[in-house]
Formats: sequence, structure tokens, C-alpha cells
Amino acid sequence: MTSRLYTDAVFQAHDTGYGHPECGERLAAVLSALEGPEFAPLERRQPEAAHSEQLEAVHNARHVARLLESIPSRGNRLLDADTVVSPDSGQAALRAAGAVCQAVDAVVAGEVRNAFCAVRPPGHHATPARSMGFCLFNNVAVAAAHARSRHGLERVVIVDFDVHHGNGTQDFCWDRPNFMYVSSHQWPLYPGTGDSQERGGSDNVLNLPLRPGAGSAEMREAYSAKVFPAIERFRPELILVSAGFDAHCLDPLAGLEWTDDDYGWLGQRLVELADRLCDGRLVATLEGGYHLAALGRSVASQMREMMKA
Amino acid sequence: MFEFVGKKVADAMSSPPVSVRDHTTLAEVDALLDEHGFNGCPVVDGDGRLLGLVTGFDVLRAFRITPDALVPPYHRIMASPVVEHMRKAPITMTPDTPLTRVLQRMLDLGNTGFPVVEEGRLVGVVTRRDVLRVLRECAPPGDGS
Repeated sequence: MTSRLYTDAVFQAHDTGYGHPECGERLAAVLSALEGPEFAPLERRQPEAAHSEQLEAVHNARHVARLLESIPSRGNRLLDADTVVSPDSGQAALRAAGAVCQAVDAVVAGEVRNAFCAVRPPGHHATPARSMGFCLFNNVAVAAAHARSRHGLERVVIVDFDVHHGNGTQDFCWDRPNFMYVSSHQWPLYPGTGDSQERGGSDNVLNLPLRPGAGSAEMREAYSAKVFPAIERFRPELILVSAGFDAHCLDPLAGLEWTDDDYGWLGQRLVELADRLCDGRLVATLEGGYHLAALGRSVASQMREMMKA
Repeated sequence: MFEFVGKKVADAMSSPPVSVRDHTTLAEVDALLDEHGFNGCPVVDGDGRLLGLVTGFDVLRAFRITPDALVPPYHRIMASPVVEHMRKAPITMTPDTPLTRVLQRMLDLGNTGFPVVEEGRLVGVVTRRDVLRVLRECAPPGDGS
């Protein structure tokens, strides 16, 4: 069965202003790395915008309305020190969340084995009531809630290997035992959450803080010894992945030392786990990753493994 | 300050860098560091390949008291080639390395600068002053954040 890629030109039109690391060129780098004959079998789809009911399963309605009202008709507007919106940001944010939901629909229906959502803005810092850290809506959380409400899934795991802790996703999962959140991240680092003592309302959160400078060996050890066994015990019906590529050794925003191959290794292991536990159902969505060349290569490494499934 | 995040070593380094050959004497190195106010200097072979890094600290270290002599012989030591005193396999950067990474390495290691290497060849040097200069250039005008 095939893999599918969800993306849209509006994700590049979300303009964060001159010099901002979370820029449209990131998506261009990802898409150009996924050109060429080896990626020809990848089905490409344009997503539709998420519905307000889908968003409001995660975010409070007032926040959704206020965010969409804050989108400027021209120029840029700063929501906090890091988070910038422009005229196309509302549409981009809605389609980013929509993409992950539609990828879940396709994977659960068995149309495709797995899917990657090449979207902007990223989502994992967005909390139920606040946009922050380059993130507007929490795309992966919206998709997890959608998997439960639309498809009746009882157990959904979210694996987050972005170098920053996904505080928004953790907040969403904390008191919801149907969801498990597992994150590896550099610590200390933005946003400051993700201590290993933060374990969720029903032991359904697993945080693996990594010291600055941690490389391939430490990452592989942490995933093999802790992450994969925890996912096995949870017996998910769907694996969602917050795929940030900023733990790469070239990334300018952090200090971990992962390589292109590490993302291939992670992709391969997650695909194996999905095969064994949930008929291969796996949906990954782009979070961070700010070194353009490293981002493109790392996404390609992961995609290659997903396409072997 | 977003602009700084996108800056690479290539945007900040001195290029071509001042370097010395493997056979340069310690006396010549000492004079060169003094003349330019450098903390250190890369050492290259005849093809421009990086062999090591020599700093004022390494020159000083050559005068460590050892069992070889009661008092370190100044002229003999200063006439010896730098290749005997340099640090081999120094930590290097590439032109593509983000400056944020360079800054972090300087803080972690206490280095004042790094040789910049591309395919084994020395192409530049990036120092604390270079990083500070680019930080300044990327700052927004006035007292904005």
C-alpha cells in the first residue's frame, strides 16, 4: 500500500517576516527533497481547512475566534516575541490542522498505509488557550481528538521528537487517558516544560529530556529502552508523530547532535511498531527544523522508511 | 533578532585567514600573535590543509619545566617548529555551520575562535569578535527587542 503526502501552497504563503527561522523556505526545502523518481510513488494531496468543531475539541472557542480575528489584512502582526502572523496565516493554520485530520481519515479507512503532512505553521506548542512558539493551532492534538470523535479510536499515541518539548500537546493529553504523549527533547530549552517527573493524569505522558550535546547513541538508547516499550504497553490503534527535525546537529535553534540517518532510524522503528501494533497506521506531521538542507535530507530519510511499509 | 538565527560561519569569518606553516618557528608565531593581537592561529601544510591550531597558551606551555633542563632554554625552544607545539585535530567549523552553534561551542569550550574548514582545507577563522559583530549587525535599530 502507498504513502501519502499532504501539502498546500498556502503553507509557504504563511509569512513570518524577514529573517524569521520558521519561514516558507523550510517547506520549499522539504518539497524539493521529496522530488525525484524514488518519491514518485508518493501520493500527493491538498488538504481542506479544519472545521471549527474539530479545532474546538482542543482549543477553546474564544481562542479560535480571537486568533482568526487577529490575522492582519496586510503586513505582519506579532502574537508574542516569536510568533508572527500575516494575511495567509489563518488559512494556513486551518489547512495545517485539516491536513493531519484528513491524513488520519485516509489511514484509518485503509486508503493508504501512512501519511506525512508537510505543513506550516507547526503546532505542538499551541495550548488549548494560547498560540505560542511559532505555533497557531495544535495540529497533532486536533487530529488526535478527531481520531477519537470521528473514528471512535480508544488509544492514540503521539510521539514527538522535535528538539523542543510539545507543551501544548502535553496539556491536551494530560487528563485524557485515551491519549498518550511521548516526547524526547533537549532540556533545558524552550519552552521550559518536559521534566521527566511530568507524567500526566494517568501516567499517560512520558518525557525524555536529553542533555545539550546528546547525539545518536543517547537518542537511540532512550528510544529503545523507554519510548518503544511504553508505546507497546499502551497498545495504540494509531501512531501520530510530531516530526520536528531541529535535534539535527546543524540546527541553529538547539544543541543536540542527531544526524540525517537518525531520522531514518526513527522512521524505520516507528513504522515497524505501527505494523506490529496497529496495521501500520501512522501519520506524521512537520513541526520544527530550521537548517534548510538538513531539514530536507532528514524528512527524506524518514519518508523513505515510511514508503517501505 | 531572528536574522541572527539564519547567519552562518560564512557570514562572519575572516577569509582568507592568517595562518602559519608547519615549519614556522615558535618565535615567528609569537611575533605574529603579538602583531595582530590574535589569541591563536591555524597551522597548515603546503596544500593549505589544516594540521592544527597554535595559541599563546601553547607557546607558554613550551616553557613548562621538564626533566630535560634546569631552566627552559628560551632560544632553543623558540627556534623549534610550531608543528611540535600546536594542538592537532582542533575543533573546526564549516562555512555552513550556524553561528548560534558556534556561539554555544565558544561558551561550552571557552574557545576564542575556531578554524573554518571545507574539504580539509582551511578557508577562514571565526572568532568571538566576529560573532559579537554579527550579533550587533542583526540587532534591530534603537532599543527594540
